[in-house]
Amino acid sequence: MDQLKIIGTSPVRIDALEKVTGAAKYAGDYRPDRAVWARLVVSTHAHANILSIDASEALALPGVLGVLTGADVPEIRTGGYLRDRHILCKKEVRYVGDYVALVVAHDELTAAKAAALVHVEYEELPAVLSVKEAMKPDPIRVHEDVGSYLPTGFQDIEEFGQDPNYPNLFSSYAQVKGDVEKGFAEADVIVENDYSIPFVSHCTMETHSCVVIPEENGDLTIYASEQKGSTAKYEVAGDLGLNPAKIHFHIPYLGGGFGGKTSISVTDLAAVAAMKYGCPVRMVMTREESFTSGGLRGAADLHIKDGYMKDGTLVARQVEALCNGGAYSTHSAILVMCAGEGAIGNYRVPNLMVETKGIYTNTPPTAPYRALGSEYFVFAIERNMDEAAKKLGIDRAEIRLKNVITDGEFDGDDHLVENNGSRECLLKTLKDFDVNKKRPPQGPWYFGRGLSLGNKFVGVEDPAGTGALVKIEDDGSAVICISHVEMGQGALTVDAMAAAEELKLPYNKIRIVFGDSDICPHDMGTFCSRGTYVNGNAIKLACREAVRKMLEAAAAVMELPADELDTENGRIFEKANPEHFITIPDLFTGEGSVMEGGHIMGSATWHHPNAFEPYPNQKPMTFSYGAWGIEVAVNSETGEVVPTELVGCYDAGRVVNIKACQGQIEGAFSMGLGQAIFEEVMLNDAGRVINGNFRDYKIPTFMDGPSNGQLRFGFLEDSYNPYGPNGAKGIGEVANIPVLPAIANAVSDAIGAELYRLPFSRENVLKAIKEKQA
Amino acid sequence: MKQRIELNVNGQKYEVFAEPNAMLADVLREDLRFTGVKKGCDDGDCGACSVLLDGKVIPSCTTLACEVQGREITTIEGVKQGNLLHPVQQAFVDCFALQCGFCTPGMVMAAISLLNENPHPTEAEIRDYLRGNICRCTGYTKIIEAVQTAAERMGGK
Repeated sequence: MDQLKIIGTSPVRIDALEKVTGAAKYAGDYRPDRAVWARLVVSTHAHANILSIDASEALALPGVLGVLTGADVPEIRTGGYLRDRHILCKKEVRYVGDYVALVVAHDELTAAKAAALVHVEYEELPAVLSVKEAMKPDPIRVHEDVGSYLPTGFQDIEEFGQDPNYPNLFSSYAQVKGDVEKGFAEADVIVENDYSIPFVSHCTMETHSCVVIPEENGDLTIYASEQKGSTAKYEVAGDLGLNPAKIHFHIPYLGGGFGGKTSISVTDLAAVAAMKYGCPVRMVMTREESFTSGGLRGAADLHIKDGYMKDGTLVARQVEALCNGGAYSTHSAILVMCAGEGAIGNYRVPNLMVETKGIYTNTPPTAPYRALGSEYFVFAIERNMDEAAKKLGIDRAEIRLKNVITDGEFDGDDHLVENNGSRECLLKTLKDFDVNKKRPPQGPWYFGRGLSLGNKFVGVEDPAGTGALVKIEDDGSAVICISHVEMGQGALTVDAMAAAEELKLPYNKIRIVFGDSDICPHDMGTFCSRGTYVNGNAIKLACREAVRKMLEAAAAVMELPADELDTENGRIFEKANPEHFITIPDLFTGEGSVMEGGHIMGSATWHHPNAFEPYPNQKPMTFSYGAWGIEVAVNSETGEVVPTELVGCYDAGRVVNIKACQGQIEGAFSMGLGQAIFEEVMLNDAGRVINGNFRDYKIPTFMDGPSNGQLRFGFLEDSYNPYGPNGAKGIGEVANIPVLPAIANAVSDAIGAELYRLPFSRENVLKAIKEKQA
Repeated sequence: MKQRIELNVNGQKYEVFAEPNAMLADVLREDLRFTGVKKGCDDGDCGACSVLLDGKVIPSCTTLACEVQGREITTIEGVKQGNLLHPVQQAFVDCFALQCGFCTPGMVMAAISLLNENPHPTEAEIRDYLRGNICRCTGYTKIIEAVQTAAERMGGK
C-alpha cells in the first residue's frame, strides 16, 4: 500500500460550517424573484378513470394562477428505466395519491387551499393491491399494455424480461449457476421458507423539493433534490422534449437520499408549470405526500429453498422474489436485476437460481432503499441460514464460516472473487462476540443472539465514465468541480481529501464546486455506494493532469526539465535539491512567470476497467462487506426488542475519513434497527397509506438507539481495493445490510420461534410468542 | 385577511403582514428569509424547525406567528457569537455530529436550550430532552458526543 498523508484520518467535514450555521442551502430554500408555489391534487382512489375535473372554485380564489391537468403535460411518459407514467394522469389513476392536477398559486397556503377546492369525478375501477393477485391469470391490469412502454435508455437498459402472460409484470431477471434441481437431489436437508418484506419510507428529513426558473431565452434553471447527478437534466429533458444543454441543473445539498431521490419526482411538474406561467415555480412535498409518493421501498415476498449436506455445506439455493413495484416501476425495474447480487457476495453456492420479478399493483410507486433490494435478500438468506443451522445441529458461526466465499473462487454470478472481506469480517466479529453465549431471562426479558454477514455491490460500471475538473488558483489553493451529490454521506469531504492527497496540498486549500450541470463534468448519479469510488478516481486523474501542467509551467520559470521537479505543500521544487523551489503563486505572479493572467486546469474522465467488457464476463466486481453479532433482549409480555450487545466489522476498502465512515455505520445501524422492529408503511384495504406521519410511522429517535459506547465496530484495516481511489470501496449501503438480519436472528433466538415477516414489531413478536405457546 | 405582526428575531425587530393562521416557521422562512429554519413534517413531530422562544426550544411549524409577538425568538442564524461559532455549533463540527444537515439547525437549537436549563446533562437527560428532534442520518451517537463536548467546553457557564 502506498503511504498516504490525509486518507485514513478524520479532517472535519468540508460542509460542517455551512450546516451548523443554517447557511447550507437545500432546494426548498431557493426563492427566486416572482416565485410561485405548486401543489398537487391527488387521486383518492387506488384505481379509477378521471371523468371530470372542476377547478372553477380553485381558480376563483385570489392568488391562484391556474390549475394544470393531464391535458397540459406531454404525451411521452416518464420513468426511471421504463416510461410508464404521465407527469399528470391523462385518464387513469393507479394509486391513492396519483397525480391528478397541479395548482399554481402565489404562496404555499393559497396553493394548498386551492388544491382542496379542485373537484374530481372518478369512475372507480377494480384495484389490485398484492403481488399474488397481480400475478394470477387474467388479472386486473394496472397498466393496459406494459409491452408498449419505451425504455428511458438509462444505463443502456433496453430489455426488461416482460411476459405477455403476466400483464402486471414490468421486469424480471433470472440468475442461474449450476443445476439447482441436481443440488437439491444431492442435499441431505432442505430448508424452505417464505419471507415477507413491508413497504418502508426512507424518511429523508428533507422531502422532495425543487424550484424551476424559466429564463428569458427559453432555458430552464433548476434547483432540485435529486441523487441522479448530471443525468437529472437528461431525464427532465427527455420527459419534456427539451434540449439538455438548455437545462441548467443544480443539485444543492440534499437533506438525505438513501435511494429515495433517484427518480425525478416533482421537478417535471414544476418545470411544466414554470414554462406555462413564465415564472419560477417551487414545489416541496408535504411529509404526507412523501409517505405516499416519495418513492417507498417496495414490499416483497421471497421464497427461499436451500439444500445443505449434513456437514453444513450449502449445495443449492433457489430464491424467488416477487417485488411489489407499486403503480409505476421507477427504479424498481433495476432493483429486480440487482437485488439478487445480495445473494452472491458472501457465500459459496455451487447451484444457484435467483428469479426476481417486478410487479405492478395499485399501490404507491417505489424506489431503491439503501441497498437496492440486497438488504432484503440478505435478510431472508441469513434468516434461512439460522434455521438450517438449527436443523443440522450446527453452530451458527460454523455454518457461515463453512460456506463463506473467499478470494480466487467464482461467485454465484460467475465473477472472480477478489478482495472479499466476508470471512475476515466474520472472524473479527466472532473474536468479540460469542453467538452461543446464553443469558438467563430477567423477569419478562429473554435474551437472544444473532449473526449476519452482508455484502453490497459497489455500482460503478458506466461507459460514460465520471468526470472531474480541477483548477489551481493563483493563491495556491485548488477548486474541484464534480457532480457527486452531497446528501449527508460526506461526498464533498472525501472528494476534497482525494484532491488534497493527489495535489499534495493541505485539505483546507481545497474548495469543491458541486452539482452545477453547466460546469461540473458528467457523472450518472450518486447511488449504489459508488460516489467515493468513481468520483475519487476521476478527481485523482484530473489532479494528476493539473500537477503535470503545474510542473511544466514551473519548468519554464525554474529553467529545469519538468521531470526533475516535484510538488508538495504548495511548493514546486527540484527533486535533487528540494530547497530550490518556487511556490504555486509564483507560477502566476512571480518574476518570469509564464502564467500571468492564465490558469492551470486539469480535467479527466475515469472509466471502470470493466465498463466496456461484454456481459456476461468473469471479471471481478467490487463489493463491500460487513458483519454484525447482536444480542437483544425481548420482553415476553410487551414484545419490545432492545439491542443489548453489538459487535460489528466492515470491509470498506481503505477508509477515507474514519469519523465520517463511522457516522455512516452508526446511522445505518439506526436505520436497520428501524427496519427490524418498527417500520412499515401500512395501506388499508382501499390502498391508502394510513400511517403517513412520524407519529404513526415510528423511526428510531434518541430514545431508541443503543447508548453511546454500546456500538462496537471496526474496519478491516488492511483491506485495499486496487481499482478504488487510494484503495477505497464504498460504505453507504453495506453499512445497512447486516444490521437487520442480525437483529432478526437474535430476536428469533430469544423467543425460540422463527419469524418470517418484517418488521419484528411488538405486535408481531407477541403474536409469534403466543403462536409458539399455543 | 393578512394582519400586521411584529416579531423580534435574533435581537432585531421585524414587521410582517401575514395570515392569522400563518405559522412561525413559514413567516421566518418565507417572509424573513431565515432559511436555516427547516421544515420536515408540518406537525411538530420532527424538530427540524426548532427555534428558541425566550431561550426555550419550541417547534416553529406548529406555533402561530401572531402569538409570539413581543417575545424573543432565536433562530440558528442568531446563535453565533460575533464571528465565533456557539460552543454547541463548534462541537457539532468537531464531533461529526451532522451528515445531511437538515435536522442540524433544529438539533443545535434544542441542545442550546437544554444547556441553558441544565449545564451538565447526563446522556439519558440529553436523549430525553432531544427526543422530539429526529435525525435519519447519524444514529444520534455523535450528536450526543457533541452536546457532551459543548457542555464540557462551556464549563457550566
